Amino acid sequence: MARKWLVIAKTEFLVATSRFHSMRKAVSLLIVAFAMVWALFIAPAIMSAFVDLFAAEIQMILAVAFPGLMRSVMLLLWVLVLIYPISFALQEIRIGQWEIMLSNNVSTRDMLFGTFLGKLPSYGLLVLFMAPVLISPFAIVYQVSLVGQALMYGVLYITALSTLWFSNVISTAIQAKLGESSRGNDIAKALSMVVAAIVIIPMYGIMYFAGPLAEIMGLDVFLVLPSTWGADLITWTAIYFNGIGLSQSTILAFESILLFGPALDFLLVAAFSIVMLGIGFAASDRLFTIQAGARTEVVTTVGRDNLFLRGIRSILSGSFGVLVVSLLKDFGRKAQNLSRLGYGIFLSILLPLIMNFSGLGATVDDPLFVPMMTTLMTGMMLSMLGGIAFGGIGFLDSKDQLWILKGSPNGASKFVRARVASHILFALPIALISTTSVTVILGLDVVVFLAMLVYVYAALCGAILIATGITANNPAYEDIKSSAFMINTGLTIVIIMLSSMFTMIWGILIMISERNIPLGLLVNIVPLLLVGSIVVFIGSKRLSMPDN
Amino acid sequence: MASDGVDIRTQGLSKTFGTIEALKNLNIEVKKGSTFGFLGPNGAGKTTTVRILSGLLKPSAGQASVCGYDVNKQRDEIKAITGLLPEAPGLYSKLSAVEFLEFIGALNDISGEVLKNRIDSLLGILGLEGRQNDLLESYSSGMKQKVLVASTILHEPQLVFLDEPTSRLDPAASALVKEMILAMAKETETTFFICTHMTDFAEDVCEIIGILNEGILTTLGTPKDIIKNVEASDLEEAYLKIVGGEVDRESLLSWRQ
Repeated sequence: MARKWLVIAKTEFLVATSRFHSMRKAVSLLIVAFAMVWALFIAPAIMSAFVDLFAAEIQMILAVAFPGLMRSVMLLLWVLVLIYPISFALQEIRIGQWEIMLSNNVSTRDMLFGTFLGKLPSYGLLVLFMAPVLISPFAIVYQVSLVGQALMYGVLYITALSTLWFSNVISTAIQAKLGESSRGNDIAKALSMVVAAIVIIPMYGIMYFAGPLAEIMGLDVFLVLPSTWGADLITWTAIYFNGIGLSQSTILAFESILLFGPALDFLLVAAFSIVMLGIGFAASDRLFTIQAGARTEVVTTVGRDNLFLRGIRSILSGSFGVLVVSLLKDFGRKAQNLSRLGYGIFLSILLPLIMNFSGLGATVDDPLFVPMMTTLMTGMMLSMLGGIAFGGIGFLDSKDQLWILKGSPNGASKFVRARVASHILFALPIALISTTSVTVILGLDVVVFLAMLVYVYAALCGAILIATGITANNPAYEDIKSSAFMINTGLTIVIIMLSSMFTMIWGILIMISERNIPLGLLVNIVPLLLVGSIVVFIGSKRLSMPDN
Repeated sequence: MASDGVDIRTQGLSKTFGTIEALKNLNIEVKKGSTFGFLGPNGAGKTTTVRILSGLLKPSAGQASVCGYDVNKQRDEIKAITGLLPEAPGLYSKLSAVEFLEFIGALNDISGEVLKNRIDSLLGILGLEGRQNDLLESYSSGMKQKVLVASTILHEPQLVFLDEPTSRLDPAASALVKEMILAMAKETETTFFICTHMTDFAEDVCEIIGILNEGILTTLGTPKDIIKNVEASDLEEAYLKIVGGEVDRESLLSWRQ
């Protein structure tokens, strides 16, 4: 009897490598070969040079905070391997494929194991690329023997594999719970953004707060995380296989920090892996339960328009008002749109915070520096992420929707105008939340707050014009894997960045020399609004043209 | 442009996509207030024809006028007096049926009480009054199709293009749409241009039928004439004789050997 899990794994692999088509084998082999060369030669060489260059600083950090730093690094890897597969799996609910498998008498265990194996090549490569970057600095500084290094990598891989399995079980459970419906897909995509945001925290933590993070991660409370057990086991391996002759007293000092001994850490890593495997197999029948169908899913009934929408209808009377209100409802009721905007707000607040609290804000001795840079960074970050949320996927759901719009006289251009108006209305609370949060956290004054609010809102409006124009020119619909979406996203980011930076130096000079923040910000924002108006005009014209 | 009692007139209408000839030299006339059925297998060029005639697609060659307007030059005029039901539903999942129809009405510059009354009436006729405020994401495919039918006729078009109008409907809903087409054609002189695979539906509803195969109009006439000319018992048999695809039972089971 054919091993069905293998068939499923092969199919998953074919799907994952579908963009290479006929060159699938050659490209796969090439990537694996490069990954091996990277892991064995390139990454260690780079890290070795890096360690040599900053020998004193790095060795001091590693010596002082080795366990905490290793825990931070492993946490990042753990979160990546745990979260990214969930995030990607949620972008495409595949209940239809489960139905095919179940109707072909495939056991749920085969399905679970097959989908896990199918994910291994891609996430295995991710670990293969990341592992030497994470491990080799420690291995170099402590001069860990080859056997020790092999063990360190072994522990890392086992931790990553068990985490990937855990992640596969979670994503399957969420998919089954949400079901294959329009509503389920929307919630799944929204969740995928929320979980993706979790990865950002340890990543930025390591980038900007390595020292404090290592201290925090050294706390006993983090012993509950499986990544900590793996990290501590790697630390123990490095200690026992070190080539720098660590003294007994140093080893004892490590013991007091690590709390658990190597045997207990090993047992915990092994137990986590086995328990996860057991839970997955035991729960497989429950996991692959197909839930809500068209008649049984949640039905949402809408009520009367709220005061805000009624207000818009009365201000923008006639057809245009109806269009704007319809599009506000359509956009605002999609959880995935709100999730993307939430992600944008989160990042727009996070970056200035990191800049200030990590000490970068104090590098320039000018009271104008922090408000100026905070405003510019918040504006740029929010405009880029907001642009993608408003333009990319929030524009049109499908080609069939476009046919409906084009079927009415001047339908496409009416739609673009109404879409832009609805997005500009939607952008106001987004800019307000972001700006208020930054102002409160950094303790900025009212004048700076107002200047920042106007700038951030104008930047967001400019980004909306650009992103809407680009998407109207080349609609990507809801397919975020399409080449149109990739091109639009790349173009949107590049054009927003270039337009924002076009007069940035001039604007900054005005702010510094004239001590005039509003004028400087105005100089900064004009190109973005100008370029946006041109791009959306072109996009609207192109969308209105009949297909060739 | 005068229409001379003819709502659709094409002369040598052709469309190519790269090397593929989707439509070749189409010559038809559809009279005002009549119901024209366009039959053909998948990929025959039916949807391409509808998209050209409704001003969504540029023809590669030939001429066509719709309600007296040139499809090459007066697309917005055509869109203002025609309605199009596309092949696949492109609804806004997060709007209710009422909100979606309001949106379509606004695209066609109708709003206010007139629009509201029409929406209420149409949803009532189509049996959706109990679900009119539910989001469309929870509708079955048949209910979505009904909403699309309503959106197509909401602005009282002079000519309606229907691309597979009953493919997702159950028999009762299909019969309802059929009756609605017949009533509108008879009472309001609305012209219908219907693309369909459903030969029984076409036989019941359409006065003239054109059969398109690989982009070429192979047959044109009343259902009765078509059936008589190929000596068939009904339109389905006639269609299979014209297009090909008659069933050979023995060959159907050959895969088991």
